[in-house]
Amino acid sequence: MKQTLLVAGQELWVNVRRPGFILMTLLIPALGGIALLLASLFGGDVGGLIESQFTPQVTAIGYVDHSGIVDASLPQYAGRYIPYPDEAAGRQALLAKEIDSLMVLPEDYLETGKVTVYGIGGGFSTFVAADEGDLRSFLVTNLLEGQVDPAIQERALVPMRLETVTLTETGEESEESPYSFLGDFILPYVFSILFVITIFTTSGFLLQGVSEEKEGRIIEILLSSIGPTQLLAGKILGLGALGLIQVVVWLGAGAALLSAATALFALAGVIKFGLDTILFGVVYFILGYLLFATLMAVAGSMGTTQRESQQIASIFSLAAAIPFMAMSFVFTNPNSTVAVVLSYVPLTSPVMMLMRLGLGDVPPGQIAISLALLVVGIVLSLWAGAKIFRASLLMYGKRPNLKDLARAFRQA
Amino acid sequence: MIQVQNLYKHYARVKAVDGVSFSVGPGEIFGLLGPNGAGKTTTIRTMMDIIKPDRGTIELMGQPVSEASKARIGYLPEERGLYQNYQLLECLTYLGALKGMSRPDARERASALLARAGLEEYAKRKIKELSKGMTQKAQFVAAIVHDPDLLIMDEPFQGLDPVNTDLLKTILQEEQGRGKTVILSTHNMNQVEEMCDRILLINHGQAVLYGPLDEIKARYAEHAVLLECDALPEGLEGVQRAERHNRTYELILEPEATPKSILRQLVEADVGVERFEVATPPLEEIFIDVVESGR
Repeated sequence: MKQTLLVAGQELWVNVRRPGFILMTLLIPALGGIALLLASLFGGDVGGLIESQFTPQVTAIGYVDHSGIVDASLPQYAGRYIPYPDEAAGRQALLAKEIDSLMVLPEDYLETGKVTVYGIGGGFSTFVAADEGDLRSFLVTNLLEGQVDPAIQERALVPMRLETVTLTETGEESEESPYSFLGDFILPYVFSILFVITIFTTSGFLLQGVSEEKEGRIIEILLSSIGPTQLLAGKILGLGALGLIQVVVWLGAGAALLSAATALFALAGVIKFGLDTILFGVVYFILGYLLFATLMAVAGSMGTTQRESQQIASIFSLAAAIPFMAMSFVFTNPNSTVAVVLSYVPLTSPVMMLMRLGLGDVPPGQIAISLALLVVGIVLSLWAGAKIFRASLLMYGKRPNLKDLARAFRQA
Repeated sequence: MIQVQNLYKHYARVKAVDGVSFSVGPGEIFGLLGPNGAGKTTTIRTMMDIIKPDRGTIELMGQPVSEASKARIGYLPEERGLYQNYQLLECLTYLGALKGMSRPDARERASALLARAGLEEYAKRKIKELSKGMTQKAQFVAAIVHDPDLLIMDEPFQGLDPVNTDLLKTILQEEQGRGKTVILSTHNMNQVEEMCDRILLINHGQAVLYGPLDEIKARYAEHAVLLECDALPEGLEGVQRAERHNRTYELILEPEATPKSILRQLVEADVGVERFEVATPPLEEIFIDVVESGR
């Protein structure tokens, strides 16, 4: 045990000083801070800022009206919607960049609703130029102007201003913000991303360390002092502590940024973290790390060079990324078969469960099965991993084949 | 100090170690010899409890070898390296601590050994900045940093110049003088003849020669004497033929003649003898003979 802790301490001490680790640990909170600073510079109108990034900067729209529905005298569109007598004139203005896009209403517009929009510079810019919302309100206004009551015309343009109320189980109105589900989702989602970044960082160090010890022929000297299982355990513990340091720094910085953001942008009640979500987040993080760290160490011991070890490890890295690929299934139905199956497979369950827990109620039975299978997966991978680790470490210049691995299981 | 009894380690197609037994006494320098692939490394790895034998026992000071006994053994493997990005002293301190020393003790002993090996000014340098020879010496220091009772050295002088080879030999002999036991595995037979008291020669996983070096050499002695003198008297009885190599004569004896009878005749003839010895082949020749005959 003393030696295991010694290895753990050494791994932690050596890796915590790595410039790559320090940079990665500080960079993410720094980016958050910069984002917050920028947002506050825009007077807290984050939504407006984001929206403005996606809204095309339209200065003028030309139109050719063959249907006769447009009232050119409407003051709210004066100067922005410019009429042209025919398409040729409109196109010329478009090419001369006097207008950003040209809308053509055919004679049978009322019957068909067909509208053609011309833009310059390829399909995407034409698509962007046709700001559908703006065109829609222009058309609705022209269609209804003078035909209906102004209040009805206003409702046709903006049919609803949505307000939602959440009822508690007892039927009382909840004081929680209706958007608090965003908070429930954000934490597990952030956890998932942090989890993947951290396992890739720390287990990457583990893989690199083991393959360096093997490739650099240090391993036999180490094994003359410490057993392979103790060595493996020490490395996993040390780098696990390293991963936890990273996560704690990120969570601490995240909490600080969040409270700053809450104060700055009046988000109270919107982002609210449930204790159970945090608890499950930590449990899945630790268990997931243990599994991946063991697998990465084994990959490190199997390759004859670091590159070869990384190739073996990429299989496991890919598995960790599967839940992100299956994200659309989870968003539309957190209890879909794909989501449930991925919550049971130990390689994908930590990330998948974190996502699902944030999105809705996961049956406790499923959580229990998922955790149990994950623990079984860890125990099996530690057991098999220690044997493969022991057998592979002293095989220089040759990657163990299936026969070698089978023998390792018999003899180790 | 260490006793190995009926050690077996078989792989699918190879009998790496096939019933080897030997013992090494305290304060002895013992040669573990054999051609490449003979089973030396497997034998050593089982002694270090790095791999488990199929059968057989290994006892260190009367106790079965285990994880705990590793702290009493200093091991310099043939395939060896150190952490390239560590500072030299930091690396040696860590390896000493892994053997159960406290970090301050490990640091102090490592510093002293670095000074002894002429590396003290490189203590703060990264290992990747050291020359090949310096790294070799650093690895030697790493093997003895925890002051072990038994030193297992696999090709300790590999890649070293004569000056550094001599330095490490002296350190090993000093360790022997402090009562430490040394198992030396090397292909350099001159070093074995110079340093070892007893040897074990392994071939195809089996012990083919084992015992005191003098006895083994005597066993392989030719029926001949080497004589260095001004002029060889004629008519020496019991001499089949004489071969001259510069000032040295090799006298091949008749089956019934003895070196003693030849020496007596030389004294009686009042020959000025500068050197007289029973001809024994160098260990290298014995090694090649034994290994070739086993093919």
